[in-house]
Amino acid sequence: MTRLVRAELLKLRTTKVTWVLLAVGAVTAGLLAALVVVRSSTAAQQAGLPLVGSVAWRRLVLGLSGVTEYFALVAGILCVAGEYRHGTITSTFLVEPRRGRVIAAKLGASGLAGAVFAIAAMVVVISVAAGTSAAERAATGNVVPALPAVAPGLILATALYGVYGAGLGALLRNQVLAVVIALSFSLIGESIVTDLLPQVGKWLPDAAAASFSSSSQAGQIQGSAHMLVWWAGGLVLLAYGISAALVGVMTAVRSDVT
Amino acid sequence: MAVVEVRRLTKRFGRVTAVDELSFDVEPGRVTGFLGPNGAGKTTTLRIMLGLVRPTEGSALIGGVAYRDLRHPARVVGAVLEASGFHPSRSARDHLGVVATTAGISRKRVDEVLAMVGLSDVAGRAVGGFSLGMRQRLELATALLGDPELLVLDEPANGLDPQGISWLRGLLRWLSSQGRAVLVSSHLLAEAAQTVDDVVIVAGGRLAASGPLAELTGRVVGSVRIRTPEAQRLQGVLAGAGITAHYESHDVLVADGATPEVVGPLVAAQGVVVYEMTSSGGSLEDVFLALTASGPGASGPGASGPGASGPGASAVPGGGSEMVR
Ligand SMILES: Nc1ncnc2c1ncn2[C@@H]1O[C@H](COP(=O)(O)OP(=O)(O)O)[C@@H](O)[C@H]1O
Ligand SMILES: [Mg+2]
Repeated sequence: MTRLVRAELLKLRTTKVTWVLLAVGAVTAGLLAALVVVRSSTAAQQAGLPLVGSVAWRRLVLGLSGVTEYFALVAGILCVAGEYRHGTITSTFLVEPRRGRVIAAKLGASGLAGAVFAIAAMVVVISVAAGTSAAERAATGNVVPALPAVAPGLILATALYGVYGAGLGALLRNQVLAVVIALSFSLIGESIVTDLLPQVGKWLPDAAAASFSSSSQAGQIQGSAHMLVWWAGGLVLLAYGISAALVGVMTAVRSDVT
Repeated sequence: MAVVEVRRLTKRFGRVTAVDELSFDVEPGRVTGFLGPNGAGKTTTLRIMLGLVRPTEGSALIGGVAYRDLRHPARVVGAVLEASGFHPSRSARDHLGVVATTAGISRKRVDEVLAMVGLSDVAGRAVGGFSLGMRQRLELATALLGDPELLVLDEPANGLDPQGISWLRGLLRWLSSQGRAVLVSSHLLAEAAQTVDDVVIVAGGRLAASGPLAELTGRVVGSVRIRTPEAQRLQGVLAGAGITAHYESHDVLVADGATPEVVGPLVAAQGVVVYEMTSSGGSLEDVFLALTASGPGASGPGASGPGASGPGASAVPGGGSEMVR
């Protein structure tokens, strides 16, 4: 099994799109951080942002790294669906005909990739926050103290997004379809459901992730009662990934590769 | 002992029966040609053999077990399939590295197989920029990674230039001379005839014939076509030697069941003027045409290959134990 996970990690490393997703995710997080830092220093109160340099502010800024969750989601989808897209699934299944194990390895590798995405985004956000605030005014932009509170949840959430993506990829197997469905649901569909039915909304992937990752801090500050406790949120997100993958495996194992 | 045993294999895609109760063996140390026109069910059979497609009925065993139950499939079977692909941004070396890692094969082997197929110089380049021939070589390198005892190749000559084809032919011969079993599919019968020891001929998903190539081609008796201004006299001469000849046109006779070695001395002895004499028959194509024309169930689509013609296409002697329908 470790052999298969290592092979999946090698596939991710030797694919250009992985690095593009990693970089774009981290840069997006960095841009968001720069925006917030600049806005905080000029119009903090009007923007409804916590006081610059406060504990809440640091968590908010560092938590912006969480945007890379969506990039980890896409990387996870491509890890499975990309193989069908390029026909490499044939040689993968030739070498490991136990397809369930292949998909399991992909879930694991996508989770690890997600963790790396989160770490990269945080590194960029920390540097950008320091750099931007140094340009603005001294010493307040150090968000490193927020790491113990933010990092574990954020890394876990991004990792689980990777797993969830791989599960979706196994289920849908068409990479364009899977990316479009996953992103449009995560970015648009979920907030619509949450607005209409908050009781249902909290069980959805994004809200589940929010319950223990950074954005949660902001959420809880805003006093949202419609949120799962962090561990339940983690389990819910993991369940999405695994159940998508299970259905995917059941169909993938049965289906002909022609 | 046979390396591959296919038994009453059947695969239906909805209403299409791609493979129909097909049975054959593949022996070690020989190149077996898996031949038949497009749509005959070759690819489907090979993919079932490799665990990629589930059979509707029947079995295809490798060393006595189903592909899915092989412990180290890459060390037992190497495959080159038509629709398998490469990630375009991955280099040839990385592609092989990925497969080697999955199979638990050392990375050292990657450079060996790259050298074997002549891709060492371009190993670091992204496969997206490879020509069809280079991709085929990379597929072969992938198949050879595990040093397998059985090679399964689906139309490997596709996309290769003449040098590539002759290189491939040499490689297949060399691999089988090491005692490996090589199963290679092709819709180009004449091309395949130059490489294979044994043939398995399919048409419309059914077995048309199988056995050693020499034995099969030997079964089909050829004919001699003679252009002569003395057709009538020649017909009499041939009849005197027990050979029946019919007119193809007013100055062309076709002597069925004859060879130039028989006809030549006769015309010389009798002083018959001959403008042209050609022999036909006894080729794999004739075997195929004879077989597919003879049975009602076996005529596959596109059964008329190039060089078909041949009125009353050659006789198929009965009694061939492996003949089916
Ligand atoms: N996935 C599939 N779905 C439906 N029909 C198929 C599929 N694969 C092959 N076929 C049909 O099965 C028959 C045999 O195809 P194939 O095995 O590719 O033949 P060959 O490789 O000898 O050209 C053809 O009629 C083809 O259209
Ligand atoms: Mg084919």
